[in-house]
Amino acid sequence: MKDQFKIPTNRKNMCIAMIVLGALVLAYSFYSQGTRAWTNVLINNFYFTTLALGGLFFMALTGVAKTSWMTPYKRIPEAMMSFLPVALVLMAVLAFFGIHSLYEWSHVEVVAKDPLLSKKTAYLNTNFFILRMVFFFGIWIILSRIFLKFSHAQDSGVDKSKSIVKVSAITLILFGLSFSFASFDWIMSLEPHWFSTIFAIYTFSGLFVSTIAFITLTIIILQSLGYLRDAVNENHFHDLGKWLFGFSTFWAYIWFSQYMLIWYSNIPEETEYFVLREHHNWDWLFYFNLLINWLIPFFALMSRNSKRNKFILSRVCVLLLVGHWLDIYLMVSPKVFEIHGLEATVGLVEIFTACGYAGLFCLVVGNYLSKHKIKSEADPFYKEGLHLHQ
Amino acid sequence: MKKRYMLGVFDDEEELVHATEELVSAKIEIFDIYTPFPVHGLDDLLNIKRSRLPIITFIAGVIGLVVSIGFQVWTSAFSWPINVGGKPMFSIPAFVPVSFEVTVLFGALITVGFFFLRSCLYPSKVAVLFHPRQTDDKFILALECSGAKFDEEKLGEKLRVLGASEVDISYK
Repeated sequence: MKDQFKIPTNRKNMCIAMIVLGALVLAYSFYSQGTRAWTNVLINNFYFTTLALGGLFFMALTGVAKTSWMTPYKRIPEAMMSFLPVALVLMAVLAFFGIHSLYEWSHVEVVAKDPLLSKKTAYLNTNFFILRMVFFFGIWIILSRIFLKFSHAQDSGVDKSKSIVKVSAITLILFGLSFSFASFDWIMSLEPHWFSTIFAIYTFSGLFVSTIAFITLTIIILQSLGYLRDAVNENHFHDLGKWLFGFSTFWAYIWFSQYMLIWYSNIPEETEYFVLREHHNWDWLFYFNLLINWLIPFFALMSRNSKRNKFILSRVCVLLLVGHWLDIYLMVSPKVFEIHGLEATVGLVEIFTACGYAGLFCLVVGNYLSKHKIKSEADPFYKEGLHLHQ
Repeated sequence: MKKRYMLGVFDDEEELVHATEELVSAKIEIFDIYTPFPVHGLDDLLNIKRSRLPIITFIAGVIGLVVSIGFQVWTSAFSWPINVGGKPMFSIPAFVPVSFEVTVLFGALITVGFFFLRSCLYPSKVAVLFHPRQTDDKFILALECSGAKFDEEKLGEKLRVLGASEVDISYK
């Protein structure tokens, strides 16, 4: 059994090729349609930031519960966290150069004419936006460092679980607050007249589903490469599958909660969000989103056997990862495209940019995995984690 | 006629699992095992088939879904249409919460009902126990005393060696 992970050369080349291709297409898109390019940058920045943050949230959630069953593959959420500094750089680029292409409130002359937006300037202004962004990333990166420190202490056989419980509890609170405001800032403020109080938990539900999907898929890929085969068994997959099943339903529940309250109360400044998405050629994507993020995974993962079956599980994971990209696409694009007179479309620009980001993310994750022992066998909880029963 | 059973009474779940492994590998047929709480790994050792109850749950849930949607459509769009908030009479979003609840209700109640039916449980049923402490702190491994090869002396000794604190004979 192999202990030291090394990114296979062909996969590494594939990642690099994806990054180069994505960067080229994005550069061309900047040249031809700047707004569309910035939209794609925002979508993918947010999507991969949520994946990286998902690693932090997963570590905190399992840490506060003193979970042992994730110890055999705890390197994967750790590796996901290592993307946070990269995400900070990508997001900073967007905040400094792309903010005027995306956010209506960043134009002083527009805000001056708009009484509602003028009232919101205390919060929605460029400087405070950037300050908050740096602050959020600061919190996340510091917390992820603390988790890594404790985790590496565990690897040398020291039981740090008490300290981990404490830092996890603090992390969960800070994560909840900072991620809520981050999703308000980066996504909801694209439509500064519209607001939804449930929005943060809606983006969070997507974060959690895509995180579990990514972790599961990574384990399956690592196993197909010959790693972790003796560490993760079908009971672990069953638990991850249950989480996928449960949280894709949770996502649908939150999706519907947001939709139904807006539909029922029928207040124009709230309904504009769904009116835009249910018409103007966005409608098929709008319903397709529900289909791939909930309906198909719900029936595919319903039975016990399919949760324990790597073939089905990996397909559902891919579906959900694509689905939550689409979900974020549908949060971001319609309004920006409407303002700039663009048609509803998922074209080559979207696909190649997303592939480029995915390549970068996988490279960062793989790089972390190759620097640390893939199995944390000295961890005091490792043995207990191996013997997972249903 | 009552059947005759040999009972191995164990104090410890680890010993029970070990004894079960030994008996299974010696190809001795185990009638059943009674434990006060679920013991991991026994189901696989005894080759117990998966319960069919989830199928009932699924069917019951689908029935609940169909019934609730049908009833809501009938009441709010056909039998007694009332205009609420200017919404169309036939509004799917308004039906979703109730449909969800009724689906869960049907699924849960019908599953419990079928479980009672299948396992012949009803109020005031007298429990038939092999051993009075099988629901308390003892683990009971039951073997059916039948077949030409069944050697009570030898098997009783084997159970004791495997850690049984007592070996009883019982009829059921």
